[in-house]
Amino acid sequence: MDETPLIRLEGVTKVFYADDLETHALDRVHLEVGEGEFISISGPSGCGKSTLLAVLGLLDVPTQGRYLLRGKDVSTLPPAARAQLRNERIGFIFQAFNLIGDLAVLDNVMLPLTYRRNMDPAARRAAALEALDRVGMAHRVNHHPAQLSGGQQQRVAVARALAGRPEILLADEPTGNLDSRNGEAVMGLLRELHRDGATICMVTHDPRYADHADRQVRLFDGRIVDEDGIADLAARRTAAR
Amino acid sequence: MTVALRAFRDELACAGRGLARAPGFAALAVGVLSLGLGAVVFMYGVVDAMLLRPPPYPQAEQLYYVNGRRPDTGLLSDTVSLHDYSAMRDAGLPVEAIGAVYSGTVYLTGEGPAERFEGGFVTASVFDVVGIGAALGRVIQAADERPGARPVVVLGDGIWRERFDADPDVLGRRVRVNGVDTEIVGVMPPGFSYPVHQQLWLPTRQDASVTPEHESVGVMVMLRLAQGVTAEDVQEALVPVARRRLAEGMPMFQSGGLELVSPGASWVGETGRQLLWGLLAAVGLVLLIACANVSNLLLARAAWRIRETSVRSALGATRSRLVLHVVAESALITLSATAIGLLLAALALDAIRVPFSNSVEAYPPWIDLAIHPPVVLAALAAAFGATLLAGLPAALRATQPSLDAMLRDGGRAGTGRAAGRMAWSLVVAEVALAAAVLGGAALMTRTVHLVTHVDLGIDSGELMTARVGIPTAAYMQAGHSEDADLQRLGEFSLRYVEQLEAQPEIEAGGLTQMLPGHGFKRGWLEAEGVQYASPDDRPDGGGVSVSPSFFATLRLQPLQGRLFDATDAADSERVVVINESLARAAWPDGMSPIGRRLRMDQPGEPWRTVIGVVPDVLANVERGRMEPVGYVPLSQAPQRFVSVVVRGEGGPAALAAAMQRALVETDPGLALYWIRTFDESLALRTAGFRFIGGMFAAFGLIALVLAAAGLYGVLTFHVGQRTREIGLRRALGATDGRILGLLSRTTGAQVALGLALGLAAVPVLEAILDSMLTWLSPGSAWVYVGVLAVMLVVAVAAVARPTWVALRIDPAAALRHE
Ligand SMILES: Nc1ncnc2c1ncn2[C@@H]1O[C@H](COP(=O)(O)OP(=O)(O)OP(=O)(O)O)[C@@H](O)[C@H]1O
Ligand SMILES: [Mg+2]
Repeated sequence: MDETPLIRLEGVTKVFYADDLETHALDRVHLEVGEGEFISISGPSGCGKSTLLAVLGLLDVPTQGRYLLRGKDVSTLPPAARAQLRNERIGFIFQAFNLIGDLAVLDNVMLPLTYRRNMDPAARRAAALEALDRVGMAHRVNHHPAQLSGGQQQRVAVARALAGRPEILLADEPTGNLDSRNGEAVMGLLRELHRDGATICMVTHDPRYADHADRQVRLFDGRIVDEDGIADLAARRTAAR
Repeated sequence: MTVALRAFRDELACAGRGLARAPGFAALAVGVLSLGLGAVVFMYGVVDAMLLRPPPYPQAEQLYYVNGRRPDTGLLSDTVSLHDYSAMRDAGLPVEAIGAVYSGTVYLTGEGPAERFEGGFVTASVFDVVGIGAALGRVIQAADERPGARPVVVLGDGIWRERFDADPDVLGRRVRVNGVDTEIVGVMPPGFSYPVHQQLWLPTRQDASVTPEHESVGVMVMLRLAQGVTAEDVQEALVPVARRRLAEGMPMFQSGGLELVSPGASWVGETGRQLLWGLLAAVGLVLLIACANVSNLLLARAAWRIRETSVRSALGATRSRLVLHVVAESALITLSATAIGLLLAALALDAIRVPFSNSVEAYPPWIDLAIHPPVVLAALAAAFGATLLAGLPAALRATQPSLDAMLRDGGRAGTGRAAGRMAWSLVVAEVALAAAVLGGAALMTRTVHLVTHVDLGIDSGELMTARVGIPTAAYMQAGHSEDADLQRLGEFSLRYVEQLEAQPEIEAGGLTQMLPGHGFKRGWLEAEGVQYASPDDRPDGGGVSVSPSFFATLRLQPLQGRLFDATDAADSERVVVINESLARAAWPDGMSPIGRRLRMDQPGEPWRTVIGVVPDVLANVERGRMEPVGYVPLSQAPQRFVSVVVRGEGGPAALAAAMQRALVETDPGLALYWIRTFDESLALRTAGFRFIGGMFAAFGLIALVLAAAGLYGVLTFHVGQRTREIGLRRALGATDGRILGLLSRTTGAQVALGLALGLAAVPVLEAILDSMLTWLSPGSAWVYVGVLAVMLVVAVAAVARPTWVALRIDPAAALRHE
């Protein structure tokens, strides 16, 4: 059996320098995520959740530490290679949906596929339609985002994340801008994807949604303070004393 | 299709959809850029047609004129002396052929009334140079140039068709050319009008070996490069020739340097060339303004879409792909703008073609003001440059996606600080450039206005004018100035004036070497008994030969002394009537000049006694001010070419007919030409100014519109971007005054700084223009005040709408605006 985890962070630190102020957004974070796992990341505002997700999504580079994706160090890759990895292996779902207003629903979903080198337009279209079908939005392909409700927009965003068949889905408060009914619907979608084998890392404030995950990671002040399933909380507390 | 191309196509499609969803933005950007590109294409079209396109001769790129630079004035002239020509001809230059030509009036008589044509007096070698032979018969040959050779003429296609009914048997027929029995030996093919718009060709009769250099006509010298020889080689070979000429030539007539100039450039002349390139530079600035404008619009759009850019980046778009997106957008804008710009330029060229060719005295028929392939290429090059220039700041911005904008809600207002500074400075630059271009335009239009509205010193409204040339052969046996010849010329003038005044329509009529305002022969003047510290201290002015009736025709009364009368004959005391300016310049002591003597520094000029003083009349409209002039009687200084000026009843047509009738009664072998009212004739003199002034004014106007569009566009986007913020301020209780203050802080500082920089550049521009143009009027403070006022009004107008929009944002927008 393959022992290499899909994701492995080794002592990842992220420091922001702004106006002479040093912010340690992430502080020596160790994290492993296995293939097919669903983890939730929670913690108070400003504790570094989004920063962690940005590092995981190769949007940002750690100031220190290593990031191994399937055992390969990706923390030092040049921007173009990171862009390609993002495109092929990672899907994003944002709190603010972030659909592109100028593009119709179908074009939004096809967008990541247009950044692929060897994919002909027909294949892109097929993949996008399939993803839209999956989130139940196939009947709205020609609408523009402004013509959709928030819940619908987020479903399109999920379809966009799925269209490229990524290995990892990253979601930053996917339900944050939605009412509870729409929030439930999106969570249901994520659960379903997880059941089908997707690896998901989701940031959420909401304990109800955090419970959907296999494992909960808690951040405080840029450090992982609690990881249920590993249960080393007591050991750490002892060490801190 | 390569991957990169496919990516570009995808981004083009995407950018197209984006622009279609932002029609206001797209229209503003395309509109602004098409104005800028259109102006550049138009001006380049003019430069191309006038300077760069070769005339219609075989391998015309091998043809060059040799221009001469006057050592005293430093001015480049398209004519040199015959002596310069023969020195070049005999110097063994590496050329295939070299020839000389001068143009002159030619009267054809024989069958029907005398008719006046533009003749080309050529060396036989001219036809080898241009490489075009006769359609019928032969061209001029070397034997025709020899003294005593049988007189021959070669007709142009136009004369052959109109005067000889395209008779194929015209060869061998005899006509009277300038009173000389001449044989027709050839007919040129259609379209041949060498050197400019000549209609028939005769062999040169002037020979450097017998004519003194100061009596030489100015000839244009054209050569064809030998195979494998460059213009630089010939230029090099001309250096020793010029040096030798400088050592042996006569001061004032020699050339200080001989320079090869392409045919179009030679026709336009040095000042004209500088002006055309200057205009192209001015228009380049206009394009820069347009680019800055679009650049700013794209930047504002990029800042506004920072979240979108970041999302694309998160979805795996590489930096180059993000840049490609901006470039695609910018390319779409410039391509549409190029198409519209080409169209605008074509329309503008079309609109000036006819008025322009009519307003220039000798207009080469091959100059075609239209958009030729090189102009399209230049337009595409300019468009490519504009794409890069306009797209660059936004593209740079696109390489810095913002995580905050994407991960944190509401990050879209996050115009980066660097991008904000850039946008801010671009507007300042736009305002500065526009103020500078406008300042230059104001200087030029002011000069043109002064020149075209100058006080002539006479009432020119009812004057009718024409020109007449007296052919050498009929009046001058020796071919150059001998006393007997001069006598005959003087007698002709007297008889013609008598005939003019005998016509019932004509109230008064006179002859003059040059009409007022049309220029004169310039030179140093010397007053008897005045000691000059150096020759340069002598006053500078000019002399004009006039008939006694000239003053009455212009209604000029003597202020002192008397005017000419019949007693001032060829053999009586040499006299001169001077104008007030000359009286002041020659005798600054204020004593009466009557009875004193004066001499013009020209070969053969005697001392003349001042008999009268008349009011100032503008001598040269290009100078825009009164200058010292001495009038001498035509009887004592006869001229081969004189202008007729009459005042009378019945309107221009009747007066023209009367002038013509009087001439035929004097000599049936002559005909009048350039028959115009005085004002028309003067307008032709200033046509070049008005053309150039009009261009500057148009470009200034475009610059103004662009600056306004820039301010408007940027503030509109600024307000759009800050809708939520302004709504929030409203919700928190901000008054109209506060909101206005918020907006005007930015715009006010931009306009103020831009204006300061732009106005500071105006004196520099003025110095540059002044070094190029002798006739530029110094700018007055009004130029600055005017530019300032116009720019402020335009700025206020430009920001009015976005400001209004901002003031009407209601507090609820803070919640609603996505
Ligand atoms: N670009 C940046 N420059 C400076 N500091 C930053 C930057 N981005 C984030 N930070 C700081 O890093 C810390 C972690 O931010 P992060 O966005 O990861 O928090 P978060 O856990 O996602 O908070 P929230 O729950 O409010 O979204 C914060 O203190 C934040 O101020
Ligand atoms: Mg966050």
